[in-house]
Amino acid sequence: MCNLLAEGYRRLFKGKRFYIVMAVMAAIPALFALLYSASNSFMEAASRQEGEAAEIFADMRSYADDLLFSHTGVMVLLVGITAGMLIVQDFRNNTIRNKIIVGHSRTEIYLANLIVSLTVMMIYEAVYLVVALAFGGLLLGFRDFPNTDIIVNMLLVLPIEMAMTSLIVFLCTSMKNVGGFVLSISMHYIVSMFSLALLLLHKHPKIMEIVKEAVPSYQMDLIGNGPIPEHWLRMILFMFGITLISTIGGILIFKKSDLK
Amino acid sequence: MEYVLQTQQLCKKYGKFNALTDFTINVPKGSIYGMVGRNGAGKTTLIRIVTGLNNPSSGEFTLFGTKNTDADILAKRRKIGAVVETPSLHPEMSAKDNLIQQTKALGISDEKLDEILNLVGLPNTGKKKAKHFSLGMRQRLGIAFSLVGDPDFLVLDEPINGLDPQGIMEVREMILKLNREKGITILISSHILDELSRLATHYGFIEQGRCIKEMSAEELEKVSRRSLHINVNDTQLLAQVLDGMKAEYRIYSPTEADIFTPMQVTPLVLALNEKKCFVNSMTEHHESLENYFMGLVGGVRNV
Repeated sequence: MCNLLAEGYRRLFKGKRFYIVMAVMAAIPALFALLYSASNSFMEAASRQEGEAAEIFADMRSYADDLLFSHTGVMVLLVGITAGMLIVQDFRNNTIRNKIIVGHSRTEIYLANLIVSLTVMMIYEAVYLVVALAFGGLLLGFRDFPNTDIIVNMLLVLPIEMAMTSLIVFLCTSMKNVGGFVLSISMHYIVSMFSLALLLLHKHPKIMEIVKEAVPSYQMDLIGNGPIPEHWLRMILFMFGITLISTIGGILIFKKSDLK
Repeated sequence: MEYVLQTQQLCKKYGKFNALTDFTINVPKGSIYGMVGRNGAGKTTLIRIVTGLNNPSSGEFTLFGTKNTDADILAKRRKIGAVVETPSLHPEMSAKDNLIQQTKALGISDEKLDEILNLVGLPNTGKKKAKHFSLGMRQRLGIAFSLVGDPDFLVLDEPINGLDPQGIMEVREMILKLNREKGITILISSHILDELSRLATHYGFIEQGRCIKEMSAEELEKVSRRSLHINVNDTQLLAQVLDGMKAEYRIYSPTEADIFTPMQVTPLVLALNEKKCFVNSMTEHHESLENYFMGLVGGVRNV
């Protein structure tokens, strides 16, 4: 396993894609901070005017706190681009053969890919938060951060991203082609498109609540600058459940599949 | 005899298609085992199963004495190096970087890589990325990949595809060197039977997913018939004459044929002359591997 990780990390860090996407990940909070800053200047100017509108504009100031949870959706896309492509390229170039031929088990190969992908996720998450907190904090200042609810909510994002990453690994390893990669980077947006379908459950609020907590894309909407969600433990368990099931399923499919 | 690889009634199905049916071969230790078969005969399927890329539908094989169902098979696979069809390379990396990747996967040092690159004829590729390599260079790098783990058993699927005549010669020398000097057992499949006949110490003839015959190069030499290759103006007339003489022969084209029954040349030429069949040339030679294989599977008109 250690050898597979060494191979995977070398391939990851040797490629340009990892660094390009990391730059994009850093640029997103930086650009939003600049945008918010410009918006704040406009609001301040508007609030100096007399009348009712001035009072409204005075309350519309943005802070670095607003950056802390706005990346969860795009995170899936960016982790997918780096980690998903790393896996799919291994199949496309047939370099996965080199590991199987020399006796690495498919379970180990799958788990090594998952660990490398989770590492990508953690690095990108860290890069985003560092830029959001440092650059955003300097430019915009903080409203509530640091407070316990926000910090706990920031930690609650991690199981969601872990589940999404494990789904990316599942799709890319099971489909072994660009189709799997495209599906993995777009799954969040596809699921979000079907969020309206939740309205069908309006007569069953309990079921609707569970669906929102169980689906990673919907759970993202429950976590933000507000208070810690009521069922935070259940939400974490759902995400660990998705990670476990997709990983076991992915390994079983991978073990049975024939490679070119 | 000690065997590196033995398969017992190995079967592989892709949907309804039987790629391998009761496939049984025995690869002796220290041999260069040549697999001879047409496209789709099952050579690559066997290689994929042995290297762990495909799972057999039924049957079993033993690798270094370990059954494929034993947990220990993964450890035995560590002793294998393989090039399956196209070389598996990282296109964005240089030749040496590619090999370093493999040393990482194997958990070994990269000190022998220059020696391996020299051996396969890629010593000076520098930072040139593998995606810019010619087909021949890729093929060589693929072979280099298979040598990184210092294997005891090398599986090469069409290793000379895309190589120029000099490259073919160099790869042949390299294979012989690996076999003779390092004692590496080699399983090799190639469509270029003439090339295979210069290498192999043992043969497995494969047809429609079955191994129809196994033999050593010495045995092949013994059973290979001497033949008279004849070029005439009309092989139909030749066939009439040879039928009258109850001779065994094989026609390749309207002007080319091989006669396997030993016979005096003068009576034959006279008989042909009577039928207005004129002889352009005649050469005596040993039946080639290709001819033997075609005779075995009945691939050419055999009257």
